[in-house]
Amino acid sequence: MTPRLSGPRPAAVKSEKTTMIRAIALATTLGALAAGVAVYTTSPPGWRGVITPLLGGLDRRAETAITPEDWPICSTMASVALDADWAQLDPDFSAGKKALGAEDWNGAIAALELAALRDPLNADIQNYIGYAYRRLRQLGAAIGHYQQALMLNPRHRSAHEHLGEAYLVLGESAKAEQLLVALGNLCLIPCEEYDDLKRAIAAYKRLAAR
Amino acid sequence: MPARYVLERADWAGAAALPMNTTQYPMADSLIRFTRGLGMARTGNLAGAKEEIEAMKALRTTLQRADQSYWADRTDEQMLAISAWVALKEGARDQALQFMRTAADSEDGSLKHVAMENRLYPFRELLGELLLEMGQPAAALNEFEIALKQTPNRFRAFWGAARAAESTGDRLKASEYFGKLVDLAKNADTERQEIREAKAYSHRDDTVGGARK
Repeated sequence: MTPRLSGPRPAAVKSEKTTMIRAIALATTLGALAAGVAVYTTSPPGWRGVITPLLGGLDRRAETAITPEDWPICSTMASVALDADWAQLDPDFSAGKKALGAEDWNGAIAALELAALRDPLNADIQNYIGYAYRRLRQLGAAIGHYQQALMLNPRHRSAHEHLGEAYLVLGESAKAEQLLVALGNLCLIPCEEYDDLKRAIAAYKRLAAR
Repeated sequence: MPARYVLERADWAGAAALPMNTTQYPMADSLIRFTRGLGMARTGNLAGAKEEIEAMKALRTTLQRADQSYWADRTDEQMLAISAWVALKEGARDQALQFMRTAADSEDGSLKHVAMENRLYPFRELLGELLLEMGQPAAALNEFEIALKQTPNRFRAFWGAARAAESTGDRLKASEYFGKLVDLAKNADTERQEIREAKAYSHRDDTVGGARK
């Protein structure tokens, strides 16, 4: 009979080491991400202040529901707080939209996350959560939710546009261009999301050229 | 149901004349607009078809803004399908094919909604129809056969596959699909032109086969 050693077995030690290494790697990655977002939010790119007037026109229809601010937002968020009578949205989804309209971004996220639990395949909900995070200037989370929306519905136009605009804010215009190409393929019949992102990219390029 | 009735019989004039009684549900209105638009496009009323597409654009926006992106996508496909037949009539054949294929691919990539008994008119079938109209029967046959795997035992798909097979000279498949069509309609109250043609083909095939023997 093999004597049982006290303390962890070699395999367990190896497993613990692996777990620890993974935890450190994860913490490092998260730290880097957080630092990146912090750097971004505390040092806004110079073009943002200039791009706002250019993009301000995109948000004309949203004026009643969302006050324009120094942050590029898309026109397809117009009348976000309104619910159509026939749509019969989930109560939390509806509450989330109302919170978005009231610019209560955290409240919107809380309500929409609840709605997403009941309707996990709904790309619209993910798109809205992404939007709320974006308005909180938490771009990492925003991008994650936009990507989730596109995973659920690869044809979701608004998520394409929002994600493209988020990449522009991060200065990643090549990724925004890729999303514009994808939108172009989706919008064989012209759509406003394509036009909006195209204008945003053009404005970005004008500023980058200065 | 009125939309299905005209579409399943390929009654394009009837489809074009379908009354547009608006409801409170944009997704339902879109189905009627699609039926009318397709009917108009296939009967040569291109201006009317384009008007239907414009009306559907507004419905699509309404659906999108009401967070019904599922239905907004369906309306998009319907607009593409009408646009395909308009483009074909206008001589833009490549564009027609691109529109119709995109509509079919998009529909196939979506789940059927529980509110719909089945697809109103499977766009893969409509792609087959378009290819037949464009003189590409081999490609059309391929699309009809894919459609039959997804939505089996459909009258229009059997009819399309049979005609496509006949055009490619594939007598075996033509005979098989015409036979399935006749079998599908064996309990019908009246005989449709498609069935008469299917029976005529089978009879001709038997005669030719008999003569060979």
